[in-house]
Amino acid sequence: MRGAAGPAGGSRFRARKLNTKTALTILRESDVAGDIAEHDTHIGTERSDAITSLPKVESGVESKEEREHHLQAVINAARAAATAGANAAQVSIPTPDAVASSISYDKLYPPHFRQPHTYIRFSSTVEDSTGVPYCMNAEDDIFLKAFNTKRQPVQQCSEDEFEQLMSSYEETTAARQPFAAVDNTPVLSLEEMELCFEEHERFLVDERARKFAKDVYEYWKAERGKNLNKSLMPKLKTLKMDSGQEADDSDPYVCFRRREVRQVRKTRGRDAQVVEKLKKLRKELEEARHLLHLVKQREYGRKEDLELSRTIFEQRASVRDMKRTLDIRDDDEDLITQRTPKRRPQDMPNAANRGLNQTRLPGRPDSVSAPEADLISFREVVAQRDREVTKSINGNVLSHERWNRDFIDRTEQQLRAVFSPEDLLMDSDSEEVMPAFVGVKAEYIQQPTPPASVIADSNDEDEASPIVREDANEKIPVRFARPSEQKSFAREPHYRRRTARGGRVVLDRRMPRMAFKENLNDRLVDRFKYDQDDGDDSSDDGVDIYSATGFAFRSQWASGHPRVDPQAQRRVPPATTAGGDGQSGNAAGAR
Amino acid sequence: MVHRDESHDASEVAEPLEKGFATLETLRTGVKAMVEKQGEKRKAEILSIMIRKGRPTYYVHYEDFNKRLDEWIEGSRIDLSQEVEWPAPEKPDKKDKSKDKTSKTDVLKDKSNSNLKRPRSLIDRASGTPEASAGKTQSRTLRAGGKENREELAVITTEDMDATPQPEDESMDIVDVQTAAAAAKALAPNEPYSREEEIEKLRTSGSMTQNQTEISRVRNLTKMQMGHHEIEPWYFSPYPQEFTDSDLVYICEFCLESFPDFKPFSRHRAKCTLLHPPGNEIYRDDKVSFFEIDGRRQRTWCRNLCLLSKLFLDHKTLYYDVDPFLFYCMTTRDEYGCHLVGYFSKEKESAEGYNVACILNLPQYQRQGFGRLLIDFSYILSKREGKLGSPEKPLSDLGLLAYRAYWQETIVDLLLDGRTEANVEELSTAAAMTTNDVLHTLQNLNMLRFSKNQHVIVVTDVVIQQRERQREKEKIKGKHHLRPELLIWKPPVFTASSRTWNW
Ligand SMILES: [Zn+2]
Repeated sequence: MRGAAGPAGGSRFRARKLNTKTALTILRESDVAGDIAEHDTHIGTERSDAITSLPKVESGVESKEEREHHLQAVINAARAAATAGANAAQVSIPTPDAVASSISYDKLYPPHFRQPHTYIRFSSTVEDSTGVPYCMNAEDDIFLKAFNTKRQPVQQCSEDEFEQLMSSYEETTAARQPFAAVDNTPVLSLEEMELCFEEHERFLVDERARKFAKDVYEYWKAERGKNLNKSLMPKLKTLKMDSGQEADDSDPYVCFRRREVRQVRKTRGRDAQVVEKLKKLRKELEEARHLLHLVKQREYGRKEDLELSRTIFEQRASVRDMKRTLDIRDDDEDLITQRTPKRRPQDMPNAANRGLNQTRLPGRPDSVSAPEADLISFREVVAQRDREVTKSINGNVLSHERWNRDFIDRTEQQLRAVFSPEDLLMDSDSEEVMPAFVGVKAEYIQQPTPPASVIADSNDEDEASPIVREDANEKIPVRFARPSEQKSFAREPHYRRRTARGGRVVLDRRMPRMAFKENLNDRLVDRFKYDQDDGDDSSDDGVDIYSATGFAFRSQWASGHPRVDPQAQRRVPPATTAGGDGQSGNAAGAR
Repeated sequence: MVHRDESHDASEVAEPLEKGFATLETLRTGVKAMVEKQGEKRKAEILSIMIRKGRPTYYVHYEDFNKRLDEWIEGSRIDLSQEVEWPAPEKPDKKDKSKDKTSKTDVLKDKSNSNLKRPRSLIDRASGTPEASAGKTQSRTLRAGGKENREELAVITTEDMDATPQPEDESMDIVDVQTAAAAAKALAPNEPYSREEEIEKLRTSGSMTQNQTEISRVRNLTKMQMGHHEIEPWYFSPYPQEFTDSDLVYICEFCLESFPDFKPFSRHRAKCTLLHPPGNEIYRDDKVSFFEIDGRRQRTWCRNLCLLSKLFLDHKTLYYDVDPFLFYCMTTRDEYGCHLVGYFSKEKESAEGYNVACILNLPQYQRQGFGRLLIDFSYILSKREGKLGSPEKPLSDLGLLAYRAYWQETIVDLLLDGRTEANVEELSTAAAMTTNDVLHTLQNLNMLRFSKNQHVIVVTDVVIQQRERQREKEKIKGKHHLRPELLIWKPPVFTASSRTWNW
């Protein structure tokens, strides 16, 4: 505020807004001099217009009601008490009285309630809890009494049975003829009614009650007639019964209309959310379209490739024929050289296979023209290698068994010490390009290293260190280490090995899906997002709950396997070797 | 708030009031006469006339008295020695309309000359008192063309919760819509909602309050029996029309089903197994329990509850269903079960940040401190949610008083807890009250002052004394306090699809 406040009372407040974030000093009235100006915003006082710097106080009561005599009396009394210190007079708003009822409460409300120790949880509805919906009135009572006086006690219709029948008639009519009261449909016949005695669980009619079906039906029909065929059970007007919707709107008895389906609250935040979603959807659709476009181009390329291949084949065939007819007996060199380079580009589009090209045998055409001598030497090499590998494996198996003595393996993916030598059958020719394969998921299963148990903590050190097997011949280090406990296996690249035609072993590189999320940029994440199952329960630990081992493991537990504290399995200390990828063993690549 | 702009009334004031003497025979609905009420004469409007036991009885609304004091009176209480004010002559189309209505609502057929559905002019015409004349509007003004229904148009309050002062809005707080409809074309800004717009607003906002024309002015039920009590209804509630003939409507205390007669009620009691509100108990202490009920899952029960509370809440609307609301019901317990004492409803998702839609302490439990517990509980929930809350407007007169008392107590306690300074937001956060409500309270208590070029909060002596007296009283009477740690509750989350598609 500039300058001293003018003498003109409220004017100085006008420019000054009260900031709700500004700390206000709290003073006791007794501590301050009386010259502090009052922010008097009393309703209806002349000063209120001077105070425009403060938000206007809205009482929140409709202003017409606010003027009401009794409310004003109370407000004024309260204000007098709060400001002038007047003793708060006992003023109150008069309300119609509530008085004690003369009904015999205990008969109507039996004292059955037992409070449970825990908080009540309850979901049954009123309909679930109130039995047969029809409740007989005084008139029904008279009818029933008259009806029963003519009968033997065993032949009498009870109130429950009567209500069952009435409910059934009422509900059947309501279901079959919802507009019975307005469209003059003939009343349903007793036969039609009887068909529905068992239709609805809630309106089941007992066998015994059915004896009275006809009498009660006649009574019901008469009552309906008296009631202009309207329901005998008092009903709320909740539905738009006839077409007069306009009239409906102003009928104060019509209540609880259904909101139309779209009852979304329109808020700015929600709008923005929706816009974002739509944008994202559009982007994804465009990306999908682009992908499809690329796929289409690729397929065109393949088609062209096929056509060219076919042409080449035909040309070759004709060359061969030509050679035959001309009796040229040179080797088929020109045929092969033309063909070999073709193979590579054909594989190129598949990025995932790119790495495999290296493991492919370049010199192994399918043609039968391969020299026989080569095959023989190949077998020898393989046999030789097999022997070495088997020997080394057996050694490992033995040591594994030694380590495992007195231990039971209860980890999820149990270590198997034994595997067949055939598994190791490898191609000989790939050695110059064969990388030191790492991180095979399957390797984990084949780890000869036992998992450290809790007991083994003390001599953990040497077990944890990777056991490096130097293959004397190949100089490829094969490391056996227990997997890192901190890093999920699924995150490491691994390979699927399959045996192809002719006994070739093919390794398919499999990129784990979780790795993408971490390493690739958003665009790529987007691209792969639909490769997963619904993302609702995307677990970040990368454990595939559908994996066969998982199933086996769980079923093992389910079948009464002795319980082990699951924590115990997890408490295996992490491997001390450094480097996540480096510590993965390489058995498949062993040679 | 009595200051209002009269400019909109100018056109109607021109129409002269018809005054004259009347006899019992010439009295008709719409007539305003002086009526004896508690020993004094008060101007009252005749809303309905009915022949009872061969004699006419008159349903009257006293000017400047709340509608809950409207009543049926004998002709002898009407002072015919004074001139009465005649209603404006009815337009022909209006007669058609009311005839149409009457045929629709059979109940009315025996109530001669009943005019339940006549359009409501909120502000009574030509009242003599100066305050009233300020806001006076006239319902006889021309109907803006268009649909017939238009004449039933709504009177809307513009709920101005804006912090920015808009004094000119005040004038629009209440506008007779017929006036408004006529003026609508000329008046671009601030024009009130049309009825259609208002219903649309109801539909999208899930608001539970509504204008008064929706509601019939004449109370339709005579007396309610519930639990240990008999209660007189205060306002109209759309119970089945058959009930209007009943002298005593019975309500089952636990399932809240209603019956026009004792026999069906006793039959129902023989079958009813509910012993507490049908939902989860979320709070329990030695005195009360709170239950949370989802309007969508417990549609019948919540409808029953709304019908019941409509008897005591003038501004509550039952136009739309209960689905978008949660109902927090307070009960006391004994060997018979958990007796409903009061409740508040709350939107599952309130765009305006309301933490209470409707709040009611049943009349048989009023003036026992339960209202404060209900309000307190609504703020305890807001605190648990980490939100600031405020009750939906308009408040009822009793609601306003209850809230003001609660706010005063809360704010004063915060100011007296030893702190030497506070900003409004701190107070607001500590109490889960909106800053507006905090300011409202401070201003009301005259504690917001201006000193040495800055605002200060001055805790006045009278407020302290008042609080001390109150504490004394509490000590003697033993005041019940809710304990937030006994609340076992997580704010319910409703997915977008469940809100959109009602799943
Ligand atoms: Zn019940």
